[in-house]
Amino acid sequence: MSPPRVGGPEPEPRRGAAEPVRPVVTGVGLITPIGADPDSFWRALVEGRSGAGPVRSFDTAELPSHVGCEVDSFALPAAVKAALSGGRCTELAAFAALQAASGAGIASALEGAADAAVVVGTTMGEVTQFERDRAEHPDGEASVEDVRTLVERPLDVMARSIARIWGLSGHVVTAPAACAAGSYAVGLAASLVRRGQARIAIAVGCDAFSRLAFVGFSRMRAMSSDACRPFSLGRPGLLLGEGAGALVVEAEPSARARGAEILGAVEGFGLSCDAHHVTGPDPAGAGAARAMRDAMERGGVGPDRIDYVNAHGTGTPLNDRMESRALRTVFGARAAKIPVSSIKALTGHMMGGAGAVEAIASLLAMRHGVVPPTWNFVAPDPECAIDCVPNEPRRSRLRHVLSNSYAFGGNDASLLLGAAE
Amino acid sequence: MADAWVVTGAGLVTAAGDDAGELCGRVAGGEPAPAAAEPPPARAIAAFDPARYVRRKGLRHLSPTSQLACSAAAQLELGLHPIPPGEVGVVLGSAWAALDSIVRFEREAWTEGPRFVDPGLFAETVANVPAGHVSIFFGWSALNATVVAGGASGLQAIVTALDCLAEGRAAVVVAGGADGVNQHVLRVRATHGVASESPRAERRDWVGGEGSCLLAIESGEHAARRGARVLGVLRRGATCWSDPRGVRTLEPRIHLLRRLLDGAGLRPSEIDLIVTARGGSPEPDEAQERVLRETFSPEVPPRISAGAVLGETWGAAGAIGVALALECVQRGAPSERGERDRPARDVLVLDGCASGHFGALLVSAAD
Amino acid sequence: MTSPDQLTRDVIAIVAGIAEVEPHEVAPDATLEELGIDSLDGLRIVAAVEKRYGIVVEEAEISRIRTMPDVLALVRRYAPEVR
Repeated sequence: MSPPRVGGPEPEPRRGAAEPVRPVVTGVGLITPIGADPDSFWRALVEGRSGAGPVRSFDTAELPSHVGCEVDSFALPAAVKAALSGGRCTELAAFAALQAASGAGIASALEGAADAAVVVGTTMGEVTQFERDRAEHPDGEASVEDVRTLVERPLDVMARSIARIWGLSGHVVTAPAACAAGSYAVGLAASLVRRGQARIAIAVGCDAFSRLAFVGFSRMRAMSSDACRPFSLGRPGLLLGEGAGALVVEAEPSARARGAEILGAVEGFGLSCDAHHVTGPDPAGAGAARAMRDAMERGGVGPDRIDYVNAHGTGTPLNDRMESRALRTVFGARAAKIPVSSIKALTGHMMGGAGAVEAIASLLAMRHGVVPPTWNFVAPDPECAIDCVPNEPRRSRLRHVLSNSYAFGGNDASLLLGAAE
Repeated sequence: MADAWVVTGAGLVTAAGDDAGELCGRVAGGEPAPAAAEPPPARAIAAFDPARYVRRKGLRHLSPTSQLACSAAAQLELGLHPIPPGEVGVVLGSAWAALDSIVRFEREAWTEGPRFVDPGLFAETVANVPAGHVSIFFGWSALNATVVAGGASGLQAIVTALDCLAEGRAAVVVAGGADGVNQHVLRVRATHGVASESPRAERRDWVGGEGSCLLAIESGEHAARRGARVLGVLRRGATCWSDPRGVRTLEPRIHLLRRLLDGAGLRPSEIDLIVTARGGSPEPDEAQERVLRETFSPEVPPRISAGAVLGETWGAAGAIGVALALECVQRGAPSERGERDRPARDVLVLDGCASGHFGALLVSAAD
Repeated sequence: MTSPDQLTRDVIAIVAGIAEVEPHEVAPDATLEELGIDSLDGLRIVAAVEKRYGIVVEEAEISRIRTMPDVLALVRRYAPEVR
């Protein structure tokens, strides 16, 4: 019997490089309330086209608010739809994943790949059918048929469904991290690639428009009944959204060897936890600050080299105040000068989709050399002493961007993204 | 041992008690925990009271998953003192996570009305909140993550924890799994058969269960510096998913086990014991047997499982399996005689389920 | 000093239940923070008194409730007929 391994515990053996591998992004896909492809999405971000409107998915007559950000109808190829287990969240995720794979030029290369991973982040997962069934007979207990859809489509069903599209086996991971889940998906995917555990990883963040979440946020008095105004004085709260973002994260040597277009790099993934309150952020923003610093340290980029911060910026009084404080902690005097913006003013809070879609927005900002503004801004809040780029896009050369996401449970995540060279 | 990952604490809450040694004895003697009388049957934890474990307020309104996770975590608190809580991270696995709370919230939202539904119940519908409560109660703030991989969620959480440790994200990670008895899962299964995608699955002899198990994991060097007692070494672990409807479902698992053993410098014959998580449902067990026969031919090492004692503990199963393995490497594994008289130095813990997730972890005795 | 009226006793019982303390541990002039009551528990307290006394508290008032006297004053204002 051999002794325990000496010389350092390691994850699975790496093939090829002994150094950590740089994870780059070679494809992106998305479906959001303001666009179902990167180009139309980007145009909406710079033109201020909002995805907010009267809620269509369910009756809001009895609810305190009637406004949300829903995705327009969309279609999947019949063969793909048949292969999925069904469900809106799964279909949103698949739509984005297919678009990203196609954009990366790997859709056929993925077939049966043994070194490709799928990482999905979500908040509620597949609840749409359950909610619809319950709405039809709301009195009394949920029936066996009602809960059957929840039992047969647990939280990991999106990841398995996407893996099934390409016949993948291997790392098929689901990390529910509430409103930070999209960032977790991208960060964990990048970590798998960095450690040589996958050559390609499809990272997807997704959530469908949920009545449960709508009622929940309303009940907590966190929801606006008209617009979402991140960082603005007197901001009324968040708007619920839905959507999915997908990124193909690939080992740089692999991307270069096949001549792929590199859209950017995931330079660092920072994590921390508030350990303060299950729904409210730590007002001091200590966990948020730690996550930002962690991402920058891991990426070897100091605070002075960050060109833009894509904020979590939900538009609630608590989050935006906390995030501003965390930015001041991390950037000091520079906090009032770095452009910081939140796209949630237009997209609403896509929950699990947010972190992934916002990572894509960050890459697009670097590519176009334009900071997307914080729309719907009306007046500065002295407690949010930052430059939130109100209402007007701004030309700027962007090399390194931080993208923040904070969640229930006090989960704090920051992605450090780098421009394509 | 300085550079190994080691376990320095194990917190357990099961229907056979919260002592890994006693559980191992029950496994050796083949004594199942009592199953609740009313159908569908389940081996629930009798008179579970989180207040027994956690001397803090605020647990009463929480979901069973949250209560179970916090109760297991509480058993680790003393042993982690005085490590600054900012250096401790949490990774929790759960198969069903917030399903129960989602159904409850939906009912309350309709019957009480959106204005009166318990706002705390909304938080419990979010799958990563049980792990969040653990961080809040004990101050462990280095990182916080939840993973869902069906019945392999527990081992997936431990494997993710090892990755986080390797990346230097925390000095200690508390990792494992928790799932409560889920009446909705049991009802659907009793009515419609196994919530599985395999066409061959039958329902026979299967009993639901519940529990939680969390392990404190750190480097051997960190443990030695603070004088912590080491329960065992986690050599390496890995997980994979393969489509149960596919033609090559089992190959990735065999491949995973071979790579695991190779990477640890172990021959299959050097594995003294296999701890499996599942018990009762024939299809996954049969597939598992084929994987083991291929990997360990000609002779598969002896197998034990907590499944017969505890029933199906879902996300907790893999972590409970590791706790059993740690017991065996310290004080001997159960033999055919029903005694703990089989020495075990290198143990393979397996976790997996009908939806295609599979996990494996090598546990060895500390020197 | 007069003994607490029924309303005060009932409201104290509601708050004690949510704070997970004994009623005698709730001083009639305590702050909610002293009782370990966070924002979620605060919403629960408001919901409980709304249901108990058949009142509907205006949104803007909820965030101003910081102490036991605030809670009692609120109930008295919305349900003046209750003793």
